[in-house]
Amino acid sequence: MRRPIAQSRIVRKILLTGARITSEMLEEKAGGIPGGWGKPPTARQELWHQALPAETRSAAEPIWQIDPATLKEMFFIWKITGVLDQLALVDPILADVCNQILEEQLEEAGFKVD
Amino acid sequence: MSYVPVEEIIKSQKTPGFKTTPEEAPTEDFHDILFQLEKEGELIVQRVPEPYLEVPTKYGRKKKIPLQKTWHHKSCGQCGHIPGYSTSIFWINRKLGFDYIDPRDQTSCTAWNYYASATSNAPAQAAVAIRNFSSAYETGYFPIIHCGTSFGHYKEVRHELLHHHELRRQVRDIMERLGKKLVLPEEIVHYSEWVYAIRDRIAEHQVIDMSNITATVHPACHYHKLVEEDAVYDPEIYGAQRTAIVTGTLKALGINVKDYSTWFDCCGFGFRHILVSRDFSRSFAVQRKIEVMKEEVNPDVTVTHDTGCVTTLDQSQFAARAHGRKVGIPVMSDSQIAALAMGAHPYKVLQLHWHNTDNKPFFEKLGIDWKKKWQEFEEAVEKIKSGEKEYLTWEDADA
Amino acid sequence: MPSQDILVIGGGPAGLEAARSIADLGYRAILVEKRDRLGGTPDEAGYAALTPDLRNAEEAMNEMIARVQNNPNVELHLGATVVDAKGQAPDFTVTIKNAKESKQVNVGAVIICTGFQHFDPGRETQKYGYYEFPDVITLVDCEKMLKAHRVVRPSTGEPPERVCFIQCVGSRDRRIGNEYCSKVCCGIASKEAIEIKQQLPNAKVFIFYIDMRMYGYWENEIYWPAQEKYKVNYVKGIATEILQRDGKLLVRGEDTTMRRPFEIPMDLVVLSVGMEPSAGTREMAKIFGLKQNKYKFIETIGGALDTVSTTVPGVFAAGACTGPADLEDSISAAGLAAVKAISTVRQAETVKA
Ligand SMILES: Cc1cc2nc3c(=O)[nH]c(=O)nc-3n(C[C@H](O)[C@H](O)[C@H](O)COP(=O)(O)OP(=O)(O)OC[C@H]3O[C@@H](n4cnc5c(N)ncnc54)[C@H](O)[C@@H]3O)c2cc1C
Ligand code: SF4
Repeated sequence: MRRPIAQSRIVRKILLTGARITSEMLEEKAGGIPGGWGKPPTARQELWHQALPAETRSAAEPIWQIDPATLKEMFFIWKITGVLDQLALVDPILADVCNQILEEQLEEAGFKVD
Repeated sequence: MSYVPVEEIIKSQKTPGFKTTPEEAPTEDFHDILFQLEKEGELIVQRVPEPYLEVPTKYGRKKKIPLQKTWHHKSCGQCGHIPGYSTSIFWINRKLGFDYIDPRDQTSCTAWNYYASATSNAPAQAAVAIRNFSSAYETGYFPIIHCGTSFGHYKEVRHELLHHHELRRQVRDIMERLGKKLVLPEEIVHYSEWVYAIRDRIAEHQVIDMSNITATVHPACHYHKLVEEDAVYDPEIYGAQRTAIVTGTLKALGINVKDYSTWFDCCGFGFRHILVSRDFSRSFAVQRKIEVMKEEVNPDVTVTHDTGCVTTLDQSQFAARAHGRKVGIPVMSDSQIAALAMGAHPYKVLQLHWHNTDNKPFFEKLGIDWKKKWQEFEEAVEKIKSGEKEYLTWEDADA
Repeated sequence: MPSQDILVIGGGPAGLEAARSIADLGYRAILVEKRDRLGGTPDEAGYAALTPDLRNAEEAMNEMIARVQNNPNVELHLGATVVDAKGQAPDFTVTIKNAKESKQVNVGAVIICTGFQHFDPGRETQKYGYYEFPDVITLVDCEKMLKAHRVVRPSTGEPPERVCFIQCVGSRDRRIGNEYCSKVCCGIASKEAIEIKQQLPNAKVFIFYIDMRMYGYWENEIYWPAQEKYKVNYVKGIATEILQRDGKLLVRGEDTTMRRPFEIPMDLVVLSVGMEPSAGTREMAKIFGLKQNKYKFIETIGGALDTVSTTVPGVFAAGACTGPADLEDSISAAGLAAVKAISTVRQAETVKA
């Protein structure tokens, strides 16, 4: 069954970044040749993230910046609406990992989940 | 039997084209319920800030589009792939002197998670949506959605919220615990509707002639196939027989838009497909879209308005290229094309180096010296590398 | 003051039959028709022949009109409509308005027969390109061609070699909100297919259908002759889109029996458009305060045992204003509505005496 793979990927990515779910398509192994330049300039890509005028660009990763507090609000929503319980039905191990991260973060932020 | 010119009669009946009549709309006008619930104190409605523009939707109703004071809900799919999609939107705002916010208090709509994996549920989806809307409301700026999927999904969430008391109660409870309110905007606006609404203004600021360019358009499924009565349909464009979005903008820029037979088809992204059977996505994008465009129209560029569509159409071509198939159509968003027409830098603003398909012939046709532009970008990157600068600023982008 | 007159709104098949029945039974009917002519949609759309016996439609409508037109018991208002209604059975005051003036009449009961309109394929199903391609037409356009004995491709004026019908356009479609079956279009398409073969024996005619709904005798009267005598080709499948290619129309879809996609070139495509409530039907429902169903047809409240009573006592509805209906349905219901309306005014009279 391939479905949990998709689920894991998406849930994990949103969990980690809050804003990004896609893989790095420009990596050489993804076959990307940006702009038809011939060779994927992987080395320069980190710099490209900074060479963006939008204020919410992230220097480290191809994502938009998100306030940590905002991210925790979303975790809170996930937790109390049972999203992670649903995940546990298809991928218990991943759900465990996610739950751990989530609980730590929520506790830190002072959210009460019961 | 006397001769009756039936063919002329039938043709003349069709000539005035289809007339949209809001009274015959088969769907409810969600505003009626929205404002009623507001009256009953069930939710807060954030009004479209004045002065707004109005565009026609599928059944001839009017949709209000804010001019400025907009809060930009970015897409979680576009950043890694095509940051120039959003950067171009911001650049156009700045160029036209419009006030906007690029917020950090915004999350993914998580629709992808929902549709592709089914590990979510209605209250979770609604609460994530309302958390974002509520954040926009707190700033006094009006939400404008960059992603086609978030746009379509939020409209479905709105439908659920308007019709289900229990869901509203659940979401209100969650918001209360977050110190937020149940807020819905008066309209859910996609950025391409804003681009469309201000297309004449964009054209007034056009500095690059695009009249020798032929383009095809891919209307995003999640734009015009979800809650479709809310999509822009204009009698002036395709006789209101398909969405006017993107096409109207390109026409205002003087671009020659040509039709191809699979315009209605998905770009190939699907939802689960791109994740669990990516090869299918790639083949679909190439065989059902790019190759058909190439064969029927051979455009200089294809233009769309959703991050998933831009990336799938653009970044699927490499595999076919490796097999020697007839591909090679640059793919951009309408915001990128509009910004380019207004003189934006192809790399510093449009960020076209993140795109995959060779776009040099396109620039050459426009008389843009891409080598020089690339050099300028490289110099800017060099400054970041040397530590002279941390980021590229808006001033650098226009330097 | 209570009145024994009965107002009939709409001069189509149902309205004509209602007015005639009222007059025949010795009561007075006030017939209001929006157009300058009687005959309803069959007249307005110029139907050629009627199911199932291919009787000339004009001749049949003229017969119905003649019984009403110079009838001393029928007061006729052409080019007029109802703009206001007050009171209750058997004492309604109704305002009738034509281009020049308004007039108030006092009636004891009302029969609404404001009928249907054809689904406009420009509102949904745009993938069939009705407004885009001249050679995509509707059942109604095809009736006009058959009546004129000129079945041609509008783009060239030449007779088509290959014609197809696409069924259920605007009906049985949950996506667009019209889940109902329009009841007549399978029969009408088959009838038109036969007529095309009669006029153009060499043409190849196809019908793409979800399932053919040939009620009652239409099965043996139309469906089997269409296949066996006229060699009309029935293909179970859904046409999804129409494109133009090399001067022809290319119909794309899926053959659900063979379980495979198809792409078939055609010269002329006929969309079997369904029925929707007419603007007049929607207006009258508002003016008389009648409940409409979710498709905006007027709701009748007696189920199968009373097909004409509405939510307002003394106001009846008959024909295609209550839902998809063929002539048989419309005319039967109109007769029943006349009887019920008469019994409403008579009861009032009896109570008064
Ligand atoms: C293409 C096609 C072909 C058909 N062919 C056949 C066939 O061969 N055999 C068959 O049995 N059935 C056929 N039908 C069905 C048939 O047309 C209907 O059953 C029939 O017309 C219904 O009659 P009606 O009087 O209820 O409505 P209509 O025929 O629609 O008449 C309604 C009348 O009300 C009038 N009106 C509307 N609003 C107002 C207003 N506000 N004030 C005053 N007047 C108003 C209209 O002008 C019209 O005259 C066909 C249908 C279609 C779509
Ligand atoms: S009568 Fe036939 S064509 Fe018409 S809606 Fe019913 S099944 Fe479809």
